[in-house]
This record gives sequence, structure tokens and C-alpha cells, in this order.
Amino acid sequence: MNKSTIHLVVFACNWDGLSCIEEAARGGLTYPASVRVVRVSCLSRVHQGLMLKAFELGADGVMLLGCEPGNCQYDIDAGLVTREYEKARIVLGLLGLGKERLVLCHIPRGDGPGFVRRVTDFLKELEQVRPAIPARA
Amino acid sequence: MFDTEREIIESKIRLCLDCGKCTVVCPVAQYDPEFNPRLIAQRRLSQNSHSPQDETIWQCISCYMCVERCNYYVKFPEFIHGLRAEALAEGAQLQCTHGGALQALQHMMAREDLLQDRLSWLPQDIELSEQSDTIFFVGCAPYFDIVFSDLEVNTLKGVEGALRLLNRAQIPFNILANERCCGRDLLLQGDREGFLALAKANMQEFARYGVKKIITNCPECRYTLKVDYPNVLGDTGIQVMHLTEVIAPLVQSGELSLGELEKRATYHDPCTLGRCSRIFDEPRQILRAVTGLDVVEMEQSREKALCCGASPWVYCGAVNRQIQDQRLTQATATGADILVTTCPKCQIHLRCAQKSRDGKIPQIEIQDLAFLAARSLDIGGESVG
Amino acid sequence: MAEEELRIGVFVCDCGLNIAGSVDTEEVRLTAEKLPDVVVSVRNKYTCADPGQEEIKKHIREYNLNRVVVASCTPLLHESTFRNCAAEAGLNPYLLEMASIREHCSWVHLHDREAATEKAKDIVKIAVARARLLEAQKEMEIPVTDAALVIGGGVAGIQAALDLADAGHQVYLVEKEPSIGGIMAQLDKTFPTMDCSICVLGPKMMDVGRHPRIELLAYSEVEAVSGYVGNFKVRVRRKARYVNEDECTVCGDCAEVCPVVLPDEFQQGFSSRKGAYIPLPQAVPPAYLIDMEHCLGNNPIACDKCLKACEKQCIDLNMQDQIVKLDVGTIIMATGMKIYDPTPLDEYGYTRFENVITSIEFERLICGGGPTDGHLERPSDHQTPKRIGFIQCVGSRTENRGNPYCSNVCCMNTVKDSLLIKEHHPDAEIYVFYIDIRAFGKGFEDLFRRSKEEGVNYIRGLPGEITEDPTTKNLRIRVENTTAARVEEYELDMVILAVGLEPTDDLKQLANMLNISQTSDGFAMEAHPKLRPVDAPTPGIFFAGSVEAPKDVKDSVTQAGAAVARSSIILNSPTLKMEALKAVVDFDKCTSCGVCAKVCPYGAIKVDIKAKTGAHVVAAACAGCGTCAAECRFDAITMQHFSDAQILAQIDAALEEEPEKKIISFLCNWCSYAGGDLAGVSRLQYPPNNRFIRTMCSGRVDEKFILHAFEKGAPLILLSGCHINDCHYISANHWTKRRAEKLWKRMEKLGIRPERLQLQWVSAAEGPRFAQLMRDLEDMRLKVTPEEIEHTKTVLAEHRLSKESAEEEEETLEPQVETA
Repeated sequence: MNKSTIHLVVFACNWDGLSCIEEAARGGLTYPASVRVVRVSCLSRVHQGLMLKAFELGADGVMLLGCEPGNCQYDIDAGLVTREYEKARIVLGLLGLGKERLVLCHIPRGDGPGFVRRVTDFLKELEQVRPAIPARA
Repeated sequence: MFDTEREIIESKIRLCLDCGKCTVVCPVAQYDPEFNPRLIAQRRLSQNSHSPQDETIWQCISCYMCVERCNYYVKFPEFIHGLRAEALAEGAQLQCTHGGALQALQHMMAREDLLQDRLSWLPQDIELSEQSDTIFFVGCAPYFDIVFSDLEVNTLKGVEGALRLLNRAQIPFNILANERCCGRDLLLQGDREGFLALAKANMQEFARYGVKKIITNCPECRYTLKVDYPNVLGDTGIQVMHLTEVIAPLVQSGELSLGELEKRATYHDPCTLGRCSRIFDEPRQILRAVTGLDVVEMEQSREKALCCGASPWVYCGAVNRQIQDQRLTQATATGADILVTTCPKCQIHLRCAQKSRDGKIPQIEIQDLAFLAARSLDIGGESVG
Repeated sequence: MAEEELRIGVFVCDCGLNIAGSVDTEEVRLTAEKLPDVVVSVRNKYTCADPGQEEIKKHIREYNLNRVVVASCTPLLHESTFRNCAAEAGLNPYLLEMASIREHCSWVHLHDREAATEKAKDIVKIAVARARLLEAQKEMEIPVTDAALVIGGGVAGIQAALDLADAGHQVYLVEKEPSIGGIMAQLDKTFPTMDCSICVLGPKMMDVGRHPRIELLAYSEVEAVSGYVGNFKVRVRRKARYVNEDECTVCGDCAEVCPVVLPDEFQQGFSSRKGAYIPLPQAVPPAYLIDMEHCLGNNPIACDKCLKACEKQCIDLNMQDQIVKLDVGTIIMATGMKIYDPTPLDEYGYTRFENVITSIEFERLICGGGPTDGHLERPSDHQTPKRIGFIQCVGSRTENRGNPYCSNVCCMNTVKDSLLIKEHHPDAEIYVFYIDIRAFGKGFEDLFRRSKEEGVNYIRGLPGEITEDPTTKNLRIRVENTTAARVEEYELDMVILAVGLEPTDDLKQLANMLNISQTSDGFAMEAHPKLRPVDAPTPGIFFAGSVEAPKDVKDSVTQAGAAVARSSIILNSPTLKMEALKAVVDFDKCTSCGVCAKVCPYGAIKVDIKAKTGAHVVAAACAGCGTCAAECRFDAITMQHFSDAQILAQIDAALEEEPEKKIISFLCNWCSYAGGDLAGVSRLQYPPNNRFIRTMCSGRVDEKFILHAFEKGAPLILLSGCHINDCHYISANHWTKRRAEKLWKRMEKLGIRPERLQLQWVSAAEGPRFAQLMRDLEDMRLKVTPEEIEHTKTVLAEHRLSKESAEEEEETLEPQVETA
């Protein structure tokens, strides 16, 4: 496993979230191939189990990319995913992996460059936090 | 390590008389006619290589009621755990509860280079003896309280109570900063690889600190550390005790006095502490030592205690809920104000039931025994809920 | 030592494939032929059969053999067979030696032909070594008292007493209850014939009461037994009845006026009796008695109503217990069994739920002579139950409260009971909850079929719990119908628990008195389960009925007849020959120190320490354990047929080649050797590195044997005998233990690891334990280094030469155990 590769999983909601990513692609913007996107219909689909599973499988960082407040396609209470996110963060802290590895982002719809910037910053933060953790053998 | 043929012999499943008493007393079978422990055994014993995998093996809650009544004390839960391991090896998928959060964090906890940050809840005034070769094993309490924060179950309060009692009894102990989950849940699910990883990691920690004795507030940890670890890894040379085993003799002899609490309480025997480890009296002795506490028994107690409807984080459903409802109804029927138990899992599962069905399930207050005992001495902090 | 030239014949048995299958018997035969003093070596397919025995006799005559070695099965099985064979050919039977190459070799080393054959050759060599030193013996004859004691007056005891008496022998029948009859008297009907039980038993009981040669001692208990076969001395306590048995006319006036009311045990507590009572109307002896434990008092007499009411004046409230001393030649134990009390099975609610009763309680309810005159009523409201359930295997076939064995009669008893109910109430709904229906005997399947034809429902499954409706007192049963694979609920008016059967409470005490062992189930242990099913291992004592294992009336009666036949063999002859295994004192060496007298468990040696007239052995009382010979520090006692020289020769032969590979085990005839036989019979496998030396008792094993074996290079020695309170010779193994402890101290001082002498007790019933012990010993042997063995040999040789052994702790011998 290449130690210098930092694996990132981005859970993106189908609407606001995915639009940023698609826009980035259309704009020809690039980001490392080790950033993997998982599309969900709504970010509230992503409970703490899925977040932790990503880390178990070898992710160094997880980004939750969702809609801006009030924009939810399904009118779902944003508190749902926030609570799950906070729980998973604390678990990551307990495990000693570091809360910072999990972030919840709201980027305006269609903001491709914004997305790429956020991802690049996140990757840089992760590089500094500690060396990449090897996945379970 | 694990030897399926030897396990089948040791479980004595071949002695099964096919009498069906297990099915009658099984709480899962009571609510689900499709679940039949006797048939699971018979199907497996007469299996040829082409028969389909038995789906019902995931429903057993390992409550040991069947063993209690069986003529030959056939170790049915252990047999089931073996069947699950077999099924997983043949490619079956685990149906994890809570989205697999517990499995994920338990797997991650087995990593060798892990450096957890799990002691921030520890109050400043708890005395630790860093030189002691006795440790208090906290278990997954810090994790449970987060993962299940909406249940407001707070198992750490029980741990804290236990620590205060030990301090008050002047029993020295240390707490390891990097202890792992004991692995019982993974073992029960059939995930032997996962269990082994945790067990080895724990044994390394114990060896590093020269641990000779372990006290814990969780019956599952007690059983796994005491029985499963030596079974699989060889004699550990470590003595393992539940908190009540340590505190009860002191309370009986008068060396430790407890305080006062004017309430009526009923004690729920956790299956792993009661039927599995035969510890029924010690928790009751401690409760009776609290002045003013009226201790009453539910209709099914001690060897006959009804399970809390536990599942080792796989396959939890309506049946578990019904068992929990039945148990909480039994508790309420005693007129008790508090349901006391010494197992964090029981607390989680019963609280989960209380939070469901729009509160139609009896809402009796649930407390950890160590927490109650410590609180009676005004050293436990505020009550739960 | 033989004066004439030794001519030994060795007969190697194939035993079909039992031996030949895993041992090369031809090779064994060839090797035996080459041993010194062996003139002929023969192989046979079945040596114990007629042709085999004829061959032995032929060879004795043709080759002029004066010693015979038969290498075949265990001596415990056929030593007497071959002794008789030798005697028929004119050879003294004590010149025969058996080498067990079956139970101790071919059966336990099934998968290593080479090793098994080598071991068999060794075993034969050891046997030949002993045979060289055997001497002709004359058996002493003792007079036999022509009388028998039958303990227990149930159907087995009754039958035994009648058969013995009819055969012309005097019989003493001792029964602890006030009347004979036992459990059979309490039954309504018996299966499979559906005879009325008491109708069949009653006449037999009367015959016992009337028989001129039967002295019936009812309401009596055996307190002590001493002596030996042909000459038992029994002390019996006749408890005071307070009523003159011979005068009582059974009028019942005393009972009418007696103010004390008690539960009637015969009616299982469903009705009451008075303090003055008769246990059942058909009681034999036909007499009332006063229950003094509950009487208002007889010292001083508190109430004299019974005295006043008795016209015949046969009540004597000052009666005392009487001690009766009996001389008998044989004893038949027929003390029966006890019914399991299902109270611990709280899931069935016995004693908490009124309408849950046991099968014996049901017998009284349905019996015409019972508390309800035979009307089936249920306890709570005396109504006729319409829906009745039987639960089988209560307290049987379980390790979870109860007993692990099957109690034999409960299945058929329930089938019978179901038909009884149908007779009274054809519309009754009857359910039998079972795991198996064991209808194995003659007429049993037929009865079972009748029961099904009558509409009795057989549901395969055992109820997990019973709950009671508090108002109706009906019972709700939850059971998995395993055939249908679904949990079912039944509401029943009455539930009958088919309870199992157990040994009686006083069996242990009685067993101690008679030197009888109990099997792991607690019942009395027979000498051999197939070939000697009614003999106790102790000569002269026999079993009849359920004392040996639960059984029905037919089997009890059959067994009683068998016990009588065996007993008659002894009683029919005026004298009995005793095995020549006695202790013989050499007065030249004897110093009258008195040690032998102190250690003899039978008190068979008399020594006047002051007069110094030597130790005198009462030969008839000597049981041949050999403890005296082992303890005698002056080597003044020789054991017939088990001399020091013979045993030392066996050790030498065993350790002649490759001693470091051989574990020497001293096994006692009754327990550990038999335990080894059982391991063989069970085909349990263990390593072939052990050589057994049999003595009658572990007490025989002199410390010099052990030191000699170590000096010859033995890596490990096992000293084994009966469990500490079960010694066949009462207490001899206590001396064995003490001797081992002294030896360990000595070994430690000499720098020999004490663990190399193992002391382990193994009973005749512990086959698996024996096999495991052999495996454990082999593990231990592998840890003994060649250096250790060499060092031991050197040290012991020096030790022996410097004769320091005489100076050992000059402690006076204090027996730690009461001799009989």
C-alpha cells in the first residue's frame, strides 16, 4: 500500500452535493484519484455505521457533502445527519484516530471549484494529522 | 484455536434427547414459532452438504434458558455461535444492527498501533494505583454511551459507581488507557477472526502491564475474559471477577457499609451473570445492604430470569421487542420504582425498548447496581433520567 | 521352590480374533517355547471351550507338565475354568498361572500389532517366571451353616425366601417395615398381565408367614455382619412393636380408640392412620403395632386407651428392642429401591400444585384398597379428572437434577396406568408425554398397542413447564410436540409424573456392612454384569430384585430364583473349600512384635506380645489380603500363592529387557486390575509401555518390591488399589497409603523423585479412568531421563548393601483405622 496516498471517501447527496462534483468535472478541475465518491439520495441516509465502516475499510478521511440549510430535496430535518456525524466524530476521537478525519460540508449548489478547494484542504489537513492508517489486513 | 469438530463434541449436542423442553422455555420461540432450537440442532446434525443454510440461527439471544432445563446441559448457545461462524465462512452475510457501527468500531479497536483517547470521562477524584497488578476493565462503556446517546443510557455512570465503591472499599486498581473491547459480541456473531484480533490485542496490553487480576462491571466481559480467552488462547493466568463478587463479601462481613435509599427496587439477573456464571446472590446481598431499599423479586428471577431481549448487534427485531416488553411489564408489576441490573447491555436493550412504540412500553426507571450503591453513599453524583 | 525338574506348558489363545486380531499369537507361542523350563508351547483358537481344555489336559498328560501357563483373557474371568481343567488332568490347580494378553493387551493396543505382540511376549515371560515358583496348595475346608439370611421382604425377598425354604434350607427373612410386601404391595395392577398386584402377592406373603423353615423378622434391621461365606454371623435388631405378634388377632379395637392421627404412609399420605395401626390389611405378620415415635408416651404411660381396648391383652407398652444373633451360610440382599422425589423439579410444580402427583400416588388412588376405594379422584376437589396427562422420564435420563440412567419400568407402568384409567372411565382424555416408549419385554408391545387402540394419545415431547390456574386448580402444560415441530398447550385436570427409581437411602450403610460396592448409579455392583449377574463380588452374598438395578416384578422374581440357585450351591454341601490364599507364619523368624495382628482388617491373627509365643493365624478368618506379610519387618509371613519370591520373579522378568521402557503397575485383584479389565472390554486404547503385577490386595505390595523394581531400572511405578473407603479387604489400603507416604519420604532422601512412585486408586467400574491413567503414566515416563534411572540404580544398590534400611524411623505402629 502506498503510504503517501491518502484515501478519502466523500458521501455526496444526489442534489446539492453531487452537483458540485459534476460541475468540477465539467470544468475540467482535477483532484486525486484516491478521493472516492459515494452517491446517496440524501445525506441523512448516512448513519454513523456507514461513516465508521468507511474508516474500517481503510479511509483516512470521510467528507459528508450535503445540501445547504433549507435546500433539502426531501425536506428532511438536517439534524438527523448532524447527530449521526457528531456521534461518529466522538467515536473516532475515542479510538484515537482523531475527530478531524470526519467533516460535514455544505457547499453551494454547482460550486465545482469550491468543492475542489475543500477537498484539497482536507487532504492537506489529513497529511499533517498523522501518518495514514493501514486498512485491516 | 477453533476446532469445529471438537466444539460440536464439547457442546454435547449429540446427547440431545430431542425432547423439546428447550423450545418450550425459549423466549424467542415463544414469540416466533419459526424459531425452534431443537430443530436447529437436529437439522445441523443430519445435514448433508447440499442442504440450505439455516436462516434462524441468527435469532438466538444466548440467554441460556435452554441449558437451564436441558437434561444434559447441552451448550446450545455455544453450538449456535459455532453455526454462525460456519455460515459466515460459507459466505453468509451478517445482518448488523445500528448500521454495523458496533462491528466497525470493534474491528478498528483491534488495530495493534491504536492509541485510544478513552479516559476523559474519568472523574479527577477517582484514585488509581498505577503499580497495582489489578485493573478495572471498563469495556465498551465510553463507546456505547456515544453510539446510543439518544437512549440516554449512560453506562459510564455505572462504571463510575463501581470505581467509587472500589475506592471506598480501599481496593487498589489501575485502569489501562488502551484496553480493547473484550470481543464477546464478535464471538457470538461468529466473527472469530475479529474476536481473535481483539483478544490478542488485549492480552498484549495485559502482558505489558503485568495484569494478574481483572475486575469489571460487565458480566459479558467477565465471562469472555475468564472463560473464552483461556479456551481459545490457553491459560491466561489472570483472575477475573465481576464487581459484585468483589463487593458482596465486604458488605456481608461489614467491612463496607452502604448508605440509604428509600425506594422499592427489583433486580434483573443478566443472563451472562446469572444462568451462565451462576452469580445470583452477590448482587442481591449488595442491594439488601442499602438501608431502606425494599428489594422485591419479579415473577421470573434468578435461574428463571427472563432475558432483556439482547442481541449481539445482529438481527434484532419484533421478537426482541416483545421480550423486552414482557420483562419491563414484569418489573412494573412488582410495584418497584427502579429496575436494577449489573449489565450495561441489559440497560441499553431495555432503554431502547422504552424509547420505542411511542412510550407504550413500561417506563420504569433503570439503574445500574454499582451506580445505585455508590449513590446511596452520596458519592455517585446525580441520578439518571 | 520345586524340587523336581520343572516342566512348564504354555497355551496361547487366539480367542477367535479377539487376541489374534491384534497380536501375532504364533510369534508369542514361538517365543514362549524358547523360555527356560518350557517344554511345550501350544496355540489354540478358543482355549476355554471344550476342545481347548481337552488339549491342555492332553498335553499335561503327554508331556508330564507340572506347571501350566494359559495366555488368554483375564484370570478374573477364567482362572477357575482352567484350574478345574488342570485338576481334571491330575495337576494341583494352584500350579496354573494365567497371562492376560487380551483385556490388558490385544484389546487395548488394537492398532499397533508389533508393540502389542512384544508386550504379549513379555506378559507370557512374566507369567512363566511366576509359574516356576508356584507351589501345590491344599484348600482348607470349612463347615457351612445350612441357613440363609434374606434381607428385604419385597417380592424378590419373598420369592427368594420361599424358594430357599422349599429347597430345604432354613431362612431368616429380615424386613425393616412392620410388614413384608414392599413396593409391589402398593401397586394396583402389574403389567403386562394386568393382574391385581396384592391378589398375586398376598398368598405368597401368607406362605412366608406360615412356612416352617422361614423365620420372619419383620420390623427388624440388620445391624452388623461378620464372618465369611458359609459362616456369617449377623446381628439383627428386632424393633419393639409394643404388640405381641403371635397373640394379636387383628381385631382393630386399639386403632379405633387411639387418639393419635397420622398420615398413612402406605396410602402415600392421602388418608390417615392411627398411632396404633396395621400397615395394610393383608400385612404379614398379621399384627398391629404402636408407632412409639408419635405415641403420647410410654414412660410414664400417658394414655392407656389401647391397653384397655385390647381384649386379648397383647399390648405391652414396655416392650424393648431385641437383639437376635443369627448364624447363616449365605446372604441374599433384596432391599429394593426408592421412588424419586420430584420436588426439586420446580417446573413441574410437585407439592406446589395439588393435582400434580407421582405414579405411586396414582396407584393408591386407582386401587380398590386405596384412600378413595378405587374411585379416581383428583386431590384438590375430589372430582373425577377427565383430562389426564402422564409425563415420562421424570428424574431419569438426566444430569439436570435426577439420575442419568433409565429407570426401566416407568414406560410400561404408564401404559398400564393409562389402561386402568380407561377401564374406569372410557371417556377420559389421556395424554402421555414421552421421549421414547420402552416396551421391550414379553407382552409389552401388545399392551402398548392396546393402550393406543383405547385412544390414549402419545405425544412425543417433554413439557418445559406446568402452570396452575389458581381458581380451577387445573394445570396448563406447555410442550413441544416434536413430531409436529410445534409448541402446544394442554389444559389438564390432573398430571401424573412417571418418576424414576433410585437406590434406597440405607444401601450405603448396608453395603459397608457387607463389603459390597456400588456402581456409579448407586445400585449394588454385581461380580460380573454378564456371567455373574446375581453374585456380589464378596463370596456368599447374592442379589435379588431392584437392589442391583430397577426392574419389574417378573425380573425380580426371576433374579430371586437365580440368587437362590447360586446360594444353594453353597448351602447344599456340608463343607466349603476356601481358596488357598492364607497367611503362613514362620515361627523361626517371628518375634511376636504384634504388628501383623494390628494391621489385619479381619482380626484373624492372634499374638501374645508378652508371652512371645508367635503370631497365630486363624486360617478360616484369613481373607488373604497380604497386608501382614507386607508389614512384617522380619519377613516372617509368607502368603500362599502370592509369595515374595514369586512377585520378585515377576518384576525381574518384566525388567529383564529394556527396563527404561516399562512402567511397573501393581494392581489389586478386586478393583484396579478389574478396572483395567473394564478398560479392555471397552476397547479403550492406551500406550503399551506398562506391565501389570496382580496381587489380591494393594496391601500386599511390600516396599521391597518397589525398591527392587527401581533398582532393576524401572522408570516409573504405579501402586494402585480400591478407593480408600472401598477396599475389598475393608481397610487394608490404608496401610498401602501409609507405606507409600513413607516410601516417598525415603525416595526424597535418596535423591529419587517421589513422583516416580504413583499412588492412584481405581475402582472396577472405572474403565475410562484406568485408560486415562495409563496415558498419563506414559507421559510421565517420557520425562524420566536415563541419567535419573542410572542414578537410582546406583543409589539403591549402595543403600541395600549398607543395610541402612533397618535403621529407619523406629516409630511404633499406630493403626489409624478401626478394624472390623
